[in-house]
Amino acid sequence: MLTFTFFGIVCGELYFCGHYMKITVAGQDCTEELGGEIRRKAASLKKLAGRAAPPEISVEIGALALQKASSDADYLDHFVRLLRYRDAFDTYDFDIPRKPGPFGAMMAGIKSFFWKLLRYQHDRIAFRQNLINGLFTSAVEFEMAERKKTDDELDRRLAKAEALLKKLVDERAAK
Amino acid sequence: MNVHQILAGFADGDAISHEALQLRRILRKWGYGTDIYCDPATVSPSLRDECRPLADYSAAADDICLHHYGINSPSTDCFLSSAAKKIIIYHNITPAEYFDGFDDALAARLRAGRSRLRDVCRCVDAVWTVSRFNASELRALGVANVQVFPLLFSHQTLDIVPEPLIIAKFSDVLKNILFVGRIVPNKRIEDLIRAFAWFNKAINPYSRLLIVGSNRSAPRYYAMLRMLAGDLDLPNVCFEGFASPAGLAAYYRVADVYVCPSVHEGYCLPLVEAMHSDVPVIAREAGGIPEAMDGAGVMYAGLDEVELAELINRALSDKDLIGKIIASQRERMKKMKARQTEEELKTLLAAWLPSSAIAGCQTPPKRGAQASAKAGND
Repeated sequence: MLTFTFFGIVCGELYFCGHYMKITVAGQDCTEELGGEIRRKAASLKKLAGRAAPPEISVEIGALALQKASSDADYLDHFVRLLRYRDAFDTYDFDIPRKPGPFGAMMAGIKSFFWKLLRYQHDRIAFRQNLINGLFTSAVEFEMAERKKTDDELDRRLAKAEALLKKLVDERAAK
Repeated sequence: MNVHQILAGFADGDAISHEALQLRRILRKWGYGTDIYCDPATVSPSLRDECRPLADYSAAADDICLHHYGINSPSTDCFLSSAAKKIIIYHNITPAEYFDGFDDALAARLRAGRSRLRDVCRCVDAVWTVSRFNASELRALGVANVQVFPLLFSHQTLDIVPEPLIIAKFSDVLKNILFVGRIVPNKRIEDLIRAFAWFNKAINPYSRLLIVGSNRSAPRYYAMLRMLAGDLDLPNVCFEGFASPAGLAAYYRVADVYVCPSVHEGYCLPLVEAMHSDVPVIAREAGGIPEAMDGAGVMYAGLDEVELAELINRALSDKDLIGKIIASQRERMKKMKARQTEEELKTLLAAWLPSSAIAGCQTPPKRGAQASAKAGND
């Protein structure tokens, strides 16, 4: 068994801090050469990415929270809860990808200028759209609350009817 | 003598339906009366003329009935009550756990399908599977005499004029990362989107992810994926929906790399389609995928999203690696095209077909020809 500071090779499989990995190319095991390099690059990317890294969203309100749903009804509850966090969009500045060289810089500058110029109009459109989105989300929530109220009422009446039926059956059996 | 097939569903772009059509073509070529039977409620409108209602199915004792099994459905009961000799083709059943919370009814059908799998296999005359992975599952259940008949691939379906609008839309400077398949939870498309987020934000912003496939199988899962793409601020994730054969050929044409992060597959035909289209393939080593890859392309296990993004980057930028991948895929396709499908089928059916048919399938039996003409396609 070979052991390095961070990497270890056990039975031909590459581990990194106890994490298993395997890569085969054209049927040949390239875990050691390709896998090690990929793991090193990925680790430095995570450190250096900074602003370029994908946005981090709390596990509680991230889309993947829906994977925790245990049933269709549970999914709907989660979904509407998550929808409330997403019913509006903003017009903040964003990264404009740029190609290297003076032409890339010029194009990025032009795009940036147009964005600044048109932003005011975008703000107006965003305001209206967000208003509609918010009202729709509220409508869904009201609808769900109403349905829950009706379901609860039906459950209560059903339980009452079942209890009454049981009482009648018991009385008849006693006679 | 008729050799009919019974399916739980019959849809465009579905691997099982594709296989049924291929088998029907061969059986008709051999002169047998052969039709595909399916519950009309589960048939794509475009394929209605290609099959007959399940209620119309009837068989004589010397007929053969092939049932493609991948889920519990009324078609299985129809198959089991058939007077014909029964052959089941097991296409694998997706573990129901993947669908919990995304589609309770489908999860229940998958559970029922798996729970009765052993009993169904014990009531039939022969058991075939489309991969060794599927065969090993059945053997683990105690099913004996399982024979492997690998999933059929017809390259003609992709060797057509690709949809020009799709070519025009996606043939630009952006690198296209492609996924093809039904949008269902066992495909783990969220892993690909998260890897793409790193690729697009930190490695190459001039890139897009094309997700091609029906989004009707698990709409709640599809909604989650769209939400995830929004959370990660990825306007370049394109959910393209179902694609026609010409559309599919176009997506493969514009793709720079094909990535399959699926954790459960009985075989995975899109991998073969991508290899046929000379697109470098990266796939997770899971289920029947190693059989579909058969030593070609790139397979991985145990990578997180950043590492997968790096692997994609290598498969897009390292010319030596690309050359090696493409060479292995071409070799794989050569092997696949040399496959003697009809001979394999003849060998498998040898016990039930008349000896004249086995000798060369030159003498078309007359019985059942009527049914064949009625469905009249091919």
